[in-house]
Amino acid sequence: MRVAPPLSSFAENALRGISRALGGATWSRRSFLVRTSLFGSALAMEPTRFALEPRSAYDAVCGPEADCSGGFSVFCCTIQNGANLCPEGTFIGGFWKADRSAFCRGAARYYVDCNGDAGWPWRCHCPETASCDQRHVACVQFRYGNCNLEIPARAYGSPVVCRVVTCTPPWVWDESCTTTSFTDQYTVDQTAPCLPEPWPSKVIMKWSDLGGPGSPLGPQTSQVEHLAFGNGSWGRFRHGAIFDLAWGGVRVVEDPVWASVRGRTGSTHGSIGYPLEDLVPLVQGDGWAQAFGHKRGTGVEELALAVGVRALGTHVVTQPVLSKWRALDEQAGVLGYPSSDTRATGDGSSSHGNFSKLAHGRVVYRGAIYANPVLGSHWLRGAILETYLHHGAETGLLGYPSSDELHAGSSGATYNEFAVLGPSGHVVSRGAIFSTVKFGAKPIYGAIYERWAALDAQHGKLGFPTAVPRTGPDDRSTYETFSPLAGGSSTTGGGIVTSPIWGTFALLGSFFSAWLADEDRARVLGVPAAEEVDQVIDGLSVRSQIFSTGSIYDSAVGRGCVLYGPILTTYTQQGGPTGSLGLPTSSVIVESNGDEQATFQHGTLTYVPGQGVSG
Amino acid sequence: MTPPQARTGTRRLESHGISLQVPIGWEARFTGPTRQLDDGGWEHPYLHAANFALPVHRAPFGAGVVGEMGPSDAFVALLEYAPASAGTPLFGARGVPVRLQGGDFSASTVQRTLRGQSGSQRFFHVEGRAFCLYVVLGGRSAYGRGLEDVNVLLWSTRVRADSVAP
Repeated sequence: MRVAPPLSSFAENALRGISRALGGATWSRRSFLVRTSLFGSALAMEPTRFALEPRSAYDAVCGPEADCSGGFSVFCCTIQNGANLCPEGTFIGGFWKADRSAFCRGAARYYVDCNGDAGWPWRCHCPETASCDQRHVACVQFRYGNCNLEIPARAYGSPVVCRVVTCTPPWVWDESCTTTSFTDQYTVDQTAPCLPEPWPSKVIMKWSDLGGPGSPLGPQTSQVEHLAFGNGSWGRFRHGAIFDLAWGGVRVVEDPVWASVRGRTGSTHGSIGYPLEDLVPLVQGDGWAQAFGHKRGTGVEELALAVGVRALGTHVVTQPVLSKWRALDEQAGVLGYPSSDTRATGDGSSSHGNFSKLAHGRVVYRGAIYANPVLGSHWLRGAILETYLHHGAETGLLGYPSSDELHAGSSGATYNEFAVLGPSGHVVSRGAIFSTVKFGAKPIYGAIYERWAALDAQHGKLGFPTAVPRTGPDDRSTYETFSPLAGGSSTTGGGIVTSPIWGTFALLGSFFSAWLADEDRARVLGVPAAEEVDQVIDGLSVRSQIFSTGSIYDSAVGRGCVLYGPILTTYTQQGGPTGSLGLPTSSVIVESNGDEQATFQHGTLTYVPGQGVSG
Repeated sequence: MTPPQARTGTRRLESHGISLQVPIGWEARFTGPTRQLDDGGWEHPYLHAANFALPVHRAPFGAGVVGEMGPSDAFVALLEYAPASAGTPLFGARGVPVRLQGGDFSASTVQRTLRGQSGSQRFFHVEGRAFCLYVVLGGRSAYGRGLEDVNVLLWSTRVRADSVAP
């Protein structure tokens, strides 16, 4: 859940995100104060451009009482390379306002006093700049008394160092300020070259309110321009952009979100629309988010959400993956935070995004959402996802997820279903990955999956897949093993074998063991050619299964009897279990001289090479 | 404490639960009442008093006034704040300040520095109401009779609790 703070000002939200992005442990709500690290770094990187566009023609127009002897305090931007912020070593002593200010497009302009902290060696002096704003620095001891009431008055300890100006009421920016307001029109025309000119664009007005070049946005890097699409304008800055949307108000995008969305918003190539909100802190999970979209009808359509957290950085989640993630309770839900932008899949038909569930800043498991136009949007995670990726993800034999993670009916057992689509969008084959504590995550797909599903899937005698599909010893068949999670008998668990000629059949319990043993040694059975047949003959329960070159019979008189070759042919010709020989009581045994023999309830069959079978 | 000696001819002024004796030769005006502004802020009442004619256009802390002051002039501004401010350290002093002395004034304790002028600023609370007292003396010659009249005005100031601003 994303919850805006009680004072939903941009600066609070943005700086909270910035602070965390930069590794700051806490977020200071004293937002008129200089953000030392940000300002310092910006200054260090580009000192000559930090004060944007010196307005030489305007230098002469600092307004009245601009001399050092005029009795007023200097504007902070004049002595801070353009930063419209209180200097380090000051606190916000209070504010007043002037109504109908041209510098705020006809609205009130607020003058915020930055008073010196006790212990800082502020001294009264005239500013040492070339600006026409030569008003004095730290020369008056005065409090307006409507901010930082927890700081008591000190007779000579809190000089007004300089003034910040803003078009936003101070109590919106800074919780230390109260709503007690004083109006003084005598300063309405006072300004400085480092502040916006009269009737600035809303973009520039917002930037100045944020601190100008000392703000998290940094120095301006473009003129304010009309948006390529839609009614509005925007300006770019080193670390962000400000949008003035006729339908959405003034919105700020800044690093780290800006670094993730630049090139995708504002320009003609914009694919995610425009910011629909300012940066919002995410209460659950220590992250931040900002929504993007465009106007549609009388409302707005959300196209993307930039979501960030320190451990993973900022990533852009776009539709339809975004809707799925929102439905999963966003970062507080099963998938956690995005760990990649939403991207198109290799075949271009779908999109997917990666996610990571965090605990104490560390990844507990990974997740993903795949959105396919035919199969819909589905999520998977943990061992199932890792298995899916290991098997080639959407380009592998599993195809795209066709279900969310589902409970498999047993404790801790989960699965996702998958489907491979044909060119016309129809399902070519289906599959699944089952995850159990006992067997781990195992895929099952194609013919084996269909046979297994027809046999009641994990609820049937086979149970859960226990291994990945393997190529049979003949290099032409494929088989997969299964087992119930608990219990088990000679008729449960087993495997499914599929071969291109004989088809796909299950081998239950002991028959599967017998087949594996045969494949390891004699290889007389071949691959299964039919499902197991269960009969009662003369009061005896009989299991039998036909293979491509042999058969297995299992009854109380003979366990796992393997017949093949001429003996099997003769036995079958004589009626098999219901014939005169009755049930087998042994497998075919090869004598040392090469003869073969098998015993039955009512006789023996012996095969002598070159002479045939005799009974 | 011996009260400052009020000269005859003072008059009583009362508004917003605040009453005071206006020294002879002084002009005093209240603004108000408390009102909420379009931006969500609140303007609370304040008192301006001076030993000269108050200009029509005045800002709360004396802009529009102090520029007109002569060396013997005295100006008093008593500004009220939201009552929630009364319990804070800034407004922690209790009661209306009385007996201001010359040493309480400084050329730098002013909203705007003007040659010859000095000011004194006190934050305090009384009867659950928060106030700032801001006094400006126009010059050295105001330290005598002007400051005496300021103290008369302050000594006589009474604040009732039943007119607390919202």
